[in-house]
Amino acid sequence: MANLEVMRQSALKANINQESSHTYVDEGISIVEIPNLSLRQLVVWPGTRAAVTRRLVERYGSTHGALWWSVGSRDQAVLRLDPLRFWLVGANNFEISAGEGATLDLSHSRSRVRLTGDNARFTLNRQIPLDLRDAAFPSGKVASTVMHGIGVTVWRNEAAFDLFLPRSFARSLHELLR
Amino acid sequence: MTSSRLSAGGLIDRQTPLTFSWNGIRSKGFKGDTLASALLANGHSIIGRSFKYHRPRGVMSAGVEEAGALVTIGEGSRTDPNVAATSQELFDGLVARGQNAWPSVRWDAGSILGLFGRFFSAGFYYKTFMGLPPFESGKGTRIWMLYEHLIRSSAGMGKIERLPDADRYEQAHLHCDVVVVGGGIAGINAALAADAAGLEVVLVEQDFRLGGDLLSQGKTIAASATSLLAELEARRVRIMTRTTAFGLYENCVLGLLEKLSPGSSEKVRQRLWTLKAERVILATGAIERSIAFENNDRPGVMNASAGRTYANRFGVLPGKSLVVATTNSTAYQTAFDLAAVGAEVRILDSRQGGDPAFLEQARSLNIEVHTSSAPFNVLGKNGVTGLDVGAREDGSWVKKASFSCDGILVSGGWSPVIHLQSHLGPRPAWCDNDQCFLPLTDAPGMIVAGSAAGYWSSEECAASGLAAGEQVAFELGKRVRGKALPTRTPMSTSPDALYLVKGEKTGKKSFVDFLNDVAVADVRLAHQEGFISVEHLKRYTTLGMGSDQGKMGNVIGLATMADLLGKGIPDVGVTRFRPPYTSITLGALAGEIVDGHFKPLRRTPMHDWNLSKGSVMADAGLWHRPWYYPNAGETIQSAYIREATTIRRTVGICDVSSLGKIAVQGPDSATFLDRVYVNSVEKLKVGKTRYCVMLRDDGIVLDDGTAWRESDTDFFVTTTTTNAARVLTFFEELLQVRWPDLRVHVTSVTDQWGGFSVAGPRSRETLQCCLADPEHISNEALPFMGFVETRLKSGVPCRIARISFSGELAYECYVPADYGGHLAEVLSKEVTARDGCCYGLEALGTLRIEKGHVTGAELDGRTTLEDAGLGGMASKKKPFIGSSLKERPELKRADRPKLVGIFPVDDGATFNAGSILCREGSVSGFGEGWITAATYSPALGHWIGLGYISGGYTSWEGHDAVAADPIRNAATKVKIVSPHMFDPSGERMNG
Repeated sequence: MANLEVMRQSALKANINQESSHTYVDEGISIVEIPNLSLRQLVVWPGTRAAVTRRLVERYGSTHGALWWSVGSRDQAVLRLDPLRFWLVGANNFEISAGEGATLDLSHSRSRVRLTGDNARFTLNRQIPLDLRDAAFPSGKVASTVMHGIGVTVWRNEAAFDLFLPRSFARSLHELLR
Repeated sequence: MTSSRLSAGGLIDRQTPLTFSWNGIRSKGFKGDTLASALLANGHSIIGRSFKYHRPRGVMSAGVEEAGALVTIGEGSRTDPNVAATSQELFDGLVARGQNAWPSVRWDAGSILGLFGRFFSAGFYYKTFMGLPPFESGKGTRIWMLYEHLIRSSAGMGKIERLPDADRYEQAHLHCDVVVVGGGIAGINAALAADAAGLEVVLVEQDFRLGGDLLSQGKTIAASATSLLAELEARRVRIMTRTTAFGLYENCVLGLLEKLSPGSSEKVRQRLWTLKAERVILATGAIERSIAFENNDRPGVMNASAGRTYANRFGVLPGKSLVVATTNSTAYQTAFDLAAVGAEVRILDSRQGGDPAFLEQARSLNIEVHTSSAPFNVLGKNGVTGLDVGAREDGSWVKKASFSCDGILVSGGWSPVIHLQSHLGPRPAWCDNDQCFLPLTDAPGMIVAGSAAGYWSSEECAASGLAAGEQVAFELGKRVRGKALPTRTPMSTSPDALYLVKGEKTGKKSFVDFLNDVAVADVRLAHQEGFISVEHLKRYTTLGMGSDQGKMGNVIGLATMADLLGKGIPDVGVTRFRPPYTSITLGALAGEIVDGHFKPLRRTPMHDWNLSKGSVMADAGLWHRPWYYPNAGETIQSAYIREATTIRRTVGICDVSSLGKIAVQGPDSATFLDRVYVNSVEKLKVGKTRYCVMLRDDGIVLDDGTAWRESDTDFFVTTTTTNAARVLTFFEELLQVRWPDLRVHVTSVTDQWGGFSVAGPRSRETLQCCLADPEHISNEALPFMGFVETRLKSGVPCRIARISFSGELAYECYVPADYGGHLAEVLSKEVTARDGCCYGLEALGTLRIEKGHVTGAELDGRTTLEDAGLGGMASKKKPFIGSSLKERPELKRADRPKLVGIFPVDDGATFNAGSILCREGSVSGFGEGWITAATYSPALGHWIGLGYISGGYTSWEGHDAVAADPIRNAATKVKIVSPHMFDPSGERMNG
């Protein structure tokens, strides 16, 4: 059986091939795709929210799972996108019963693009209206926003901004970022 | 005007000469010049032609209020018309030319229109709507057809190029604690104070240089400005020069237009910012007004402060023999400065006694001052040769003397720039002492400082700026005293309330609004015809409209109307200024959202593979979907016929990734879907799929698709491509608003999966050859409407349902999207081995029309289940969305249009989709129905169609109809048949 990870084909393949690398580097900005995304959605019910949230964040050594916030590292983390919805980024294996909630593999539904460098904030703010200054959007912060009218998710981890682009729009939006 | 460059002085960099072109002539300027200052330095007096009368116009100001020196810069695809030369920074290689003139602005044939000026008075074009008197009076618009052509060809200013704009533009968002608009002394001090309090500050200045009025005040003040700027640069303040705040909106949101890299064709030319701040400080300064007197628009007449700016900042003498005409004391300093650099200067002061302090100084400098005097009429046509001077006599003005001069500098008082504040709504208040409108109240989050708030001296401006900076810091929780703005000191000597030098009528024009060619006579006419409200006055005469936005003419126009009405200016009212404060290029408004990015392009995981197979793509919403795959030399017709034929003969694959896909999860999922779909889902077994239809609340069909039951609690639901987002939104609304008690979550998984439809008699063996375990889709293991989770030979997971849209044995096979390309390759290989093909939307349409399967063309928001022949699907054992309202009598009428098939009576004939279906001999109105889709049917060997006709096909047995296409003047005799035109029993689906 073939190595399935190797067989995955990035939605950004055509853009990346033009540059002969996974990286787009210009004055103060680096835009890199983080390939082979592992993304699992976890949803809970109003009655199970507190217990599941506690169990979930404890795995990452945290005690709170605030809305629009993340816990964990940039490789393995939980992102809370709405009161009842979490994204598990990285190789996550969190068991949950149907009575508690549901999980859904979304690993192929998004392209994960990382922006770093002095101009990362400006580059993002060319497309999205959020206040991305350190005080307003510190490391760990997560937000859903729009880019050219398309819903995207932004996650700040340390100095980097990770963008989760819907796969079908990823190439078009990636072109706008550059 | 005989303007010239001074041998020394100014803030220009004389060590850096620049070359530019004016009307094809190479000219020289210096770094630090504007185009206007460079043109004046080169002795050019006529720079533009007026909007309506094509009168010669020169430089009238030194700022964005310019109404005379409007030019076109750039060439070819980089042409930019209507640029104010006064705010265009000079750069090496700048190409500029006059506009709205032929053959040139110096000799313009269009100036003949000036002879007929009385026919082009206010509202003349409205009157042309009424017809040509006396022949067409009141009859309407026939003559307008002629006028329109003439008016449209002669109106306007510069001409845009029809070429695509070669420049690049950007848009961006910016956030800060405080934004200070205006880089003059008040703005700089405000920024310094806010920064010192620890706030993040953005300072916006429309000029390419900070300093505002300080730059025009001569050597001493320029030195103090230098130290102030040095202090600013040492701070963290973000300074944005060449940036105009063009609009202020709710919640401290500003629109900014930043001009970048002048002269560079490589970089971004302009950037449109949306800035969100916690607080806004407006230090936007004030604009000097003119006075309405005869021929006050001649080249050589400019604002007094502009004359001072050209001398002190740009080292340009605007004329050798100048008359400074003023209603207030501020213009005296202009006269003193110009006299100091060698000009012969006279002062006309309309006030009876003048200002004693300045009179004394003028005498000491040997400057002649004439009090109780005003400019009456400018002599000269293409430039100033002299001035008739008027004196007051019984409330009117009469000519009393004439002077020779080559330039006239006018000061009719000052208007604080309150445009941005006005955008938010607060109306200003009239200050009788200072003869200007002042901001009455600060809008939430906004403070006005400097001369924009009526602080007139540099010291007061600086103090008000500092106080404004500290006040916003205090409001934002910083440890500062938060002192209030200092009390404003009104002008010590009130300006004369002279706006119009009114004398005996001579027929000469006295302009109120130079940009729109609105003269005093136009305001009088508006008054005579009853347009006395300021809002009516504005629209009837165009006073203050367009890019002027009242900068130059608003107060003079109001004063003229007030005079006619016998009222005071505040009693007449004030119009509201609107964004943008200055013009914005369409390129900046579009930003990067142009060409291929006009809308975001949605690609399936197999997009590149489809292109590699030669697919011609079609837009399907934001998606690009394969339309057809032509072989060499094939047309679309021959390609789709070949593709459809191949599928019925052997096998074909079609990219169906764009179909909407929704994961419905939770213990109550089945209950939820049972309420949504007309047919029952609750009892659907795991591993089975069902074709389902949902209605709107009003009983009309919303969408159709399939529901795949993955487990007791999980469903995989498909929708049409078009309605994917609409259905998901509808689901969310139902769950969040109507049935919040249901434990169900819905998530779009459209992008998670990529898939192909594999259709045709050999589809099963084709697919089996791709699977690790072919038996998973044997006829027994996977019957019709079953689905299975399995793996390709490579180990890639896939889910396969046996569903048919084509009427053939068919499957939909989905893989996680990153494996879409892999699925395409393995399927394609097996399809090719069976002489099959790829097929696109066109062949897909043919196959489904043959079968009578509906799509969005048939489910168009007017159709009931019964209309579409799907009435039998509706469960009678349960309620569902739309189940009550679908029973309305109107929706149950027997003669409602129902889905039918359509054949031409003559096998060789064709008809168009969109045609109306009529009874023979009765082609009229909406007919009896309409055709939704038409195609050539390879299976039947002739043209066929789907459509709706009243009563359905059973009502038309034995009667032919006519497919009429009145637009194309076509009519085809047709038979109305069952919509199931091919394999009506459905045997082919069984393989």
